[in-house]
Amino acid sequence: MWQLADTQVTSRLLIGSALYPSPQIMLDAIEASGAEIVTVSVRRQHPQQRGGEDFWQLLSSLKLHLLPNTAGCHTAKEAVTTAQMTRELFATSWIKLEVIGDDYNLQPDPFALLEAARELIAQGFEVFPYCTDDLVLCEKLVAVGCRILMPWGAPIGTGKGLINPYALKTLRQRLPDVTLIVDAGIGAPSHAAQAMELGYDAVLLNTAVANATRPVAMAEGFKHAVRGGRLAYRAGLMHERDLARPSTPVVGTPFWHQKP
Amino acid sequence: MIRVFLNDEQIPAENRQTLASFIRERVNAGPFAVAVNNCFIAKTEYERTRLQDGDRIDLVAPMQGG
Repeated sequence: MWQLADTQVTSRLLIGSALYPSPQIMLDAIEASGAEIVTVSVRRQHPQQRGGEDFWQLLSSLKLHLLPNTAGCHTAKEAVTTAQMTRELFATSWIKLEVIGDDYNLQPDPFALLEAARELIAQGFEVFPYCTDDLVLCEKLVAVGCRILMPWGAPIGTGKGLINPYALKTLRQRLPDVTLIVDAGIGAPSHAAQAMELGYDAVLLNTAVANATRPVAMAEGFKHAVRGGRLAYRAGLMHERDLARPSTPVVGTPFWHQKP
Repeated sequence: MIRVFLNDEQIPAENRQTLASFIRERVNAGPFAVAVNNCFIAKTEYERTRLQDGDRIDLVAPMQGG
């Protein structure tokens, strides 16, 4: 078990609910992933249609923790209002805070993100900010009260993995008491394992599972990768070296020092 | 009569109509939350919120998200 905000959870994989080929595959993939936290969102609803209700009933059947997001927001004001609506709708004060600054790579706007985080924390939210791996931004988010940070591995949906391991490693070293979750850009289980090997507390992903040829099997692959990466971090990785060193003892090697 | 915008669709409403009354008449959408002019309105405030000409109402529902 580990502590995430005010909750004890077992799994270190958080998973999204979007982009699956069908609702049933979504349910099966979430179950196969072992995730206990699922991200959700809100969108405009036709006033005479009940589409949201079907999805809500599917989610409720999972009996998992919901992490609503503010995807699509471009200003602090939009993000704060969206968070307020999700708090009422999903009955949770958790919010995955997204404020997009660039529509091409969906890069967070650090200034608006900070402004929104400050306001939402003042209103009692548990803010999970989707941020870049910039150390100064992350320190400022912590300073306004964020206990959890979610730096990107790479832009959302790219599947490029951890494009700046140095920055992510620095965040882990400099913010040892903050819950760090790599969010976005994960494309393969090996990327998730790498994040966990760096000492990250968890990984959040969606597209890598939902867009896999077999999403349910991929979800299970990620479950094992996250566990493996965490075990490796706790076990302590060997130090990388530039020169080869034989693993088999050289003492007693036959023909030792014989000239050919 | 006034005109308001529900998810960008122009709809007539009575002058000073409450949001609660408007929703009862116009909405049958399962779980939802509402903002008026980009400000969240809690369900407990629907009766006290009176619509004005040009108000923009956003109605949102649960949706898949990453």
